[in-house]
Amino acid sequence: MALSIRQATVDDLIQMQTANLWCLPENYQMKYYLYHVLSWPQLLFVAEDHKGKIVGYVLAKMEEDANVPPHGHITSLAVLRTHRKRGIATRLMRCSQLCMQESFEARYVSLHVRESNRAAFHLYKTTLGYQINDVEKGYYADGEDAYDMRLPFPQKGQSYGAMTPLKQVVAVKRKEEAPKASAPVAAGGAAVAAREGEGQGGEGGAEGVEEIASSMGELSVGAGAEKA
Amino acid sequence: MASIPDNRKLPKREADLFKSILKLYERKEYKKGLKAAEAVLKKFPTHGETLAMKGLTLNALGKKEEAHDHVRRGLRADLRSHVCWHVYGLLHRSERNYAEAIKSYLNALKHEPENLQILKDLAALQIQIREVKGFVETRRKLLGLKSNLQQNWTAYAVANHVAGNAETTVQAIDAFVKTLKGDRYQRADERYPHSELLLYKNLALSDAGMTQEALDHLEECSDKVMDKLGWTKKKGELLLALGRHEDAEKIYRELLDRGDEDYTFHRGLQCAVLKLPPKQCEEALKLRACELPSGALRAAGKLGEAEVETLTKLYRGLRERFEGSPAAARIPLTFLEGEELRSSLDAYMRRYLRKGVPSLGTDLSSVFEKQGAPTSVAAGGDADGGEEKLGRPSPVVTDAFDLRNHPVQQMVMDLTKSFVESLRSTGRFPTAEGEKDGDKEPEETLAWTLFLRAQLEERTGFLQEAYDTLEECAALQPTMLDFLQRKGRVLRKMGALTRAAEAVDSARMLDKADRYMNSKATKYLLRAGQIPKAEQTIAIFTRHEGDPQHNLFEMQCSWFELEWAEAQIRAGKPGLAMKKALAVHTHFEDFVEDQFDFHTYCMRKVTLRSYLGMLRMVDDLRSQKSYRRASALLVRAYLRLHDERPGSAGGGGAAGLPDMTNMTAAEKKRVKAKARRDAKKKAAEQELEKQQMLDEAARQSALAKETANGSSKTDDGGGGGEKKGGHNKRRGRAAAAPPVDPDPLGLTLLEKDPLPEAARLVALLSAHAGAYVETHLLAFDVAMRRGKYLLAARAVIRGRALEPRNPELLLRTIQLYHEAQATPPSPGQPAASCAPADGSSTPSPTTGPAPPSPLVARVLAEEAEGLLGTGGLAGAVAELVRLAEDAETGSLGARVCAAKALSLTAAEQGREQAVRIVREGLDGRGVTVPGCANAVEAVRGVVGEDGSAAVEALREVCGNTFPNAEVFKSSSAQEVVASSG
Repeated sequence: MALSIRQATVDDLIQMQTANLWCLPENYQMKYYLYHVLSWPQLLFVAEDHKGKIVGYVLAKMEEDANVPPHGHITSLAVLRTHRKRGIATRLMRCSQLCMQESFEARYVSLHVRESNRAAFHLYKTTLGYQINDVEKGYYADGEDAYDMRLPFPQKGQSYGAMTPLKQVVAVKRKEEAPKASAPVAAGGAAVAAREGEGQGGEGGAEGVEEIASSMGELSVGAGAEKA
Repeated sequence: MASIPDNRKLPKREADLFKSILKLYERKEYKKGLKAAEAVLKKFPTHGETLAMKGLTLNALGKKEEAHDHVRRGLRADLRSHVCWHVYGLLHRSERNYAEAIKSYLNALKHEPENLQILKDLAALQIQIREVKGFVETRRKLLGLKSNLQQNWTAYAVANHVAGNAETTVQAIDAFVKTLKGDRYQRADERYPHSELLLYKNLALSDAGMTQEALDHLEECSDKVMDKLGWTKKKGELLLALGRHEDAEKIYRELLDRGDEDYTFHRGLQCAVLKLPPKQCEEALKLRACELPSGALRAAGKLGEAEVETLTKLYRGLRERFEGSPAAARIPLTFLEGEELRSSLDAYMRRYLRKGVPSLGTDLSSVFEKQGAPTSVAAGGDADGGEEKLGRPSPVVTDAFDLRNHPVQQMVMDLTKSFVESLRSTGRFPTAEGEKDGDKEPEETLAWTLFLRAQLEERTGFLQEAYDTLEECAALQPTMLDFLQRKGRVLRKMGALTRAAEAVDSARMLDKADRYMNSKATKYLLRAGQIPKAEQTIAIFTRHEGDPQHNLFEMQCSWFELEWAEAQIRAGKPGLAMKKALAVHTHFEDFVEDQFDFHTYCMRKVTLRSYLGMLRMVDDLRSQKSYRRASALLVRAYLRLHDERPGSAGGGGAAGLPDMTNMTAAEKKRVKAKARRDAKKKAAEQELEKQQMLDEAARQSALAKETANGSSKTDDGGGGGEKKGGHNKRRGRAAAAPPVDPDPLGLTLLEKDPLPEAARLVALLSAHAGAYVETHLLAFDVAMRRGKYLLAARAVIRGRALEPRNPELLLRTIQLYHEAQATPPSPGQPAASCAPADGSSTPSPTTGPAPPSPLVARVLAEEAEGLLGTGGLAGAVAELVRLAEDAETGSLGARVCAAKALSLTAAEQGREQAVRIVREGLDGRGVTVPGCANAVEAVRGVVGEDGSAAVEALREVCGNTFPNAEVFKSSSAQEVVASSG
């Protein structure tokens, strides 16, 4: 088929958003797509037809929660109805899953699927090997339940001794972040400059955390999928 | 720090209060902040910084005017306070007034040159508006002040990259890496960012032209790079750039192991096996979608037997390696010929017919490339060291007339017919002599084969046949909604828009949970002018609370907004249409704004390659299709408003009513009489419309109320999101009830002065979407109405640089010179175009455009030979007529242009010829329902009131060609206008 299945770039986002709006009830603002591609650029893939039209995409991310092992999450997957039966979704998923393991050392990948969506469930379960991990009652806006599904990745022979320190580091960061997470970004994403001696002394390493925390707070504006 | 000036000093209690204002602001506790500010101001009413902070707090509460007032008063009271200036900057920034914000920040820095917060804010603003020089300088300062922070290094490196100093980027990264202690790869949380940094450095190396160094670097860091795909892709590129074809081949084969349907890998592999020189490889890797080097070579007539053999062998091998790989089977169809092509097509089609793949027809349509003489691009030694350019593959043929005679299309059609016949009679695909019979196929296979035939019939313009075939499909598989949907598409092409909408809507009913079908049905309903029903349909899938239209806006659903706007134009409601088109523009403004937070975020995440991609993408946003579509709608609507204004000159022959400058007195009288009649009719219609609009307004305000009431429930995150309610982080703008719209009908837009608005829009298009002919057509039409001959000339020149023989552009060239000559320059007249406007240069509305000034006339005269050819105006018209009638280049659209040009330049004598030219084009290229409607309309413009018989005759021919088309059924002129708009 004259159909290219490749890693997405920033240039694909507008068309990905259009495909999403055509196919799925769960939609996101452009900023949320940007957040994905600028946080985990390796995990987004598209299927593009001979005219350059995006006919399918997978939007995926890493869950950055210190309390669980690093794992990927499929935010959104869609293929235009006209391009079914071509195995596009399977290929998109496999590409993203591979990159989760390579770039981010993901241990598993998770996703949510509507209970009623038999076609998608079949794809995840039978074709891709996902298992039901849980059922989330009333997960969707219209009240429908979701299956929380997971696919464990084969573990590499080598164990990453560095994993524990990672957890600790992130845990420390989280701690610092906690009070600041509620410190939202001022109008325009910038805090007012403090007078000399105020607040700048301790900047050093903390600045980064604050910055990322505030960025994240702002960035998740478009993030309907974000779990608290 | 110098001592605090007296007017800024506060006693302990107030000083603490002031600090609390800052904190409260950051915590978004604005009301408390306001109280604190007022407490300070009670004792110190002219304390500048408090006034400023109060203003900023008021701004956050939506009180814009008070905010500005307070901040300005604060500044006046304490001009030397960096806080006041910073606040002023933040205020501008919140209004997206970046240039003013930068000025304020620079003022703040005068008083506090090393304030990190202000410097960081400034840097973000500078890159936001691409003030690159300033950005580099600010990042340099920040690095100097705080060189222990990684993001200051990365930002400095990126700044230099953006400024074109990739070498400095490399040096900065090297310097930073030297400051690191220990091996970053050991720390899991550092592995990814460090890996990104390495690949970013590699990109900078190759951007700096250090290809060999880049390759060496890639090898060195291979064990530290996590992004294996990115690493391998880069390696392939670098090897090709160095001409190391065999090594590159290995790499691209490895890449195909990861994804054998990735055409970027196929491009690289073809470059390697065809041993293309580095320059051509660079070009090849930039090809898009499914384009391949083999296609480009073929288009240039340079794909010889040897190359075809190499490629054939390559893909045979790939088919063995990747069993069932669609790409490996598909790509050879683009370079094989004759019997080999036939047998490959045969196998390919059978495979997907058995699977029942609905997109097979679409897929095959891309094999129908333009045939004939190679279109050699910049043949021979060019400036690039004598190396030939690769060029691009031939375009795909889409016109029904051309497709009918296309040899590959015929081959596919013959195969399809033979399949149908065999499946019908034996239930099997045909077998060659001596071959064993294949298995019996299930009935679905026949249905899908018929489906393919229907698609081929549709593409070749046999619409009734396509329709009948789809009926057969549906008879075999009544519940297959693809068949029903396709029937809708065929009906739409027949011009039966209402029946088309019915068909697609009934397909939607077969799977109500599928939003794709819902979207399709919505689109078809809008095309059929059933706007309320379309709104109800799409609302099934928007969030359940609130106004669905507002929800679609929040989710930036441009496709719907554009279709809706175009439907409103057809319904004669330009105000509503323009409002919606402006909503699409708003999305693009928001996309630009969306970058902002990432200027700092990406420096920490070190996703710098993607960050650079984002900057480029935003720079090109205004060339995006939906932006252009919205702009075109707005410009056309403004032009129409202008042309319809009483006393307007009507614009000119190309786009509006026939130009009157070359008419006889009697003709002018007739035209004016018609205009009066039209005006009367219009007044009556407007009365009716006013009533309808009032109804619409009532509906909208009712909706707004409803939404306001339900707003507490709508608060469920970014547009439904993946997760429902509760954990919503999104408050504020989106969750709140949509603001009450003071102008739901867009009446203020209708009252604007149309030409300046249109000029503003085309200026943006010309700057950002210059690669599209339509941009220059619009720019021309606006320029002529403004009497700006030079701008008009520039538009045709730029357009013809893209498509030298585009008939619309040729027509406009003729119009330009015709009008410039019809109004010869008079020495006393001020310049109409380039000279500074002095008020009197505006064309008087009743006499058409002002004549060109002597200077402009001279410029036009100098360009005349290039634009018109040696034969002058008459020669250009003759050439356009020749092109329009030519078997290779002609089309109905070109004929319409030629007809307009004839009637423009030779009104009386040209009229008959003009009508004939159009009439004789009704069975050739470009014969579609909209194409024919456009032709009928053009002829009506050419012949005027006297020639209604000619118009009727033409309409009848069109009606016979498209018997189901609604547009040709009524003899009412209005209807044709409405449907072809």
